[in-house]
Amino acid sequence: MSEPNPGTEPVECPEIVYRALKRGPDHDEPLPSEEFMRRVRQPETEKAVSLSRRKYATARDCRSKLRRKRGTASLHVGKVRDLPFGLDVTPDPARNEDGNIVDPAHCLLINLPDPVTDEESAEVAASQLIKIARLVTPEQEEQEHTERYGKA
Amino acid sequence: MSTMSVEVFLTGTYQPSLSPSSTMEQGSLPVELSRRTSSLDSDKVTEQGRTWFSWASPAAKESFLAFCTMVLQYNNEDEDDQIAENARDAALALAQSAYANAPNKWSSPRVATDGGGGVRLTWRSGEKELRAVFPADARRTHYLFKEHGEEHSIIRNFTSATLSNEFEWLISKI
Repeated sequence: MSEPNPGTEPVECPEIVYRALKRGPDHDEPLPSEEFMRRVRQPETEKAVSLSRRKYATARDCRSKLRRKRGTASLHVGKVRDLPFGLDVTPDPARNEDGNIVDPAHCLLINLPDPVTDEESAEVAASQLIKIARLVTPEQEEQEHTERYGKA
Repeated sequence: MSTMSVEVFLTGTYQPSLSPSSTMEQGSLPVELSRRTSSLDSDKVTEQGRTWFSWASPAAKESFLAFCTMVLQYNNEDEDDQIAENARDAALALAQSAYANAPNKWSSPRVATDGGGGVRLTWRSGEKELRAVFPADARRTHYLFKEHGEEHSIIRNFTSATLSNEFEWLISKI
C-alpha cells in the first residue's frame, strides 16, 4: 500500500539509508570522515547531512542525484540510533515550488556535533559512523539497481 | 604561490603567500608539478592492516610531490568544493616542514575539504588515523585529531614537529 505522502512517514529502525560519497569505491580505503560531518558553510554550518532512504531510492539513484558523487555508503538506521550524541535519521522529502514531493527518498542525519564549535565531538561522531557504514561496491550497486528497475 | 617550485618546497624555503587571490590556475604551476598525477602505485596500497602507502619507500619524495600537486590542483576538479588559499597555504607549509623533518616517514594523505574552504588531510595505518584540519576561517585554529581504535585525542595549533612525531606514532606498532 502506498503512502499518501511518500517520504513523510517516520524512518524506521530496520531501514537502510545511503550517503553519497565524493570519493569513489575504486580504492579499498576506509570511508572518509568528512562525509559524515556537517559541512562548514558561511555564515553558518549546515544543520544536517543528507541521506537517501533505500525504501525509495537505490544507491545509484542516491549517487546520481548529485554531481561528482562517485560512491555510496549504506547505514542501518537502528545502528545510527544506537550511537552517542543522539544521532538520528528523520524524513525530509524534497518538494517542488508547488509543494509536491519530488524526492521522497531524501532524509537527514541529525544531531551531528557542530564541527566549528565542537571539533572533537564532530570528529568522534564521524568516526563512529564510519565504523557502522558499509561501502556499496559497484557490483552491489548494479545488482540492486537491476533488481529494482530491471535491465536498462 | 603561483611561482613556487618543487625545489623551493624541498629546500624548505617556501613561505606561504597570504595574498587575497583565490584561485590557482593550472597553467601557472611549475612544469614538473603540473605534469604529475597522484597515480603512484605506492599511494594505493590498501590491504587490510597495511598502511595506505609505503612509508619506507624511496618514493617518499615522489609521494610528497604528488601530494603538493593534488592540493594545488584540487580546485580544478570541482567548482563547488574549493580549498581557500589561506587554508591551502597553511596546510602546504606545515606539511612541507613535517616532510623536511622526517622525509622517510612521509606518506601522502588523503586530501579533502570541510565544505567551507578548509583543508582536511588524513593519514591512516591499520586502526590508527590522523586528521589534520586547516579551517578557512582565520579565527579558527588548525588541529590534529588522532585516533586509535576507541581512543582519540585532539591537538590544537599543532606544529610541524608534532606532525612529524605523529608520523612516527602512526607507523609504530604501539
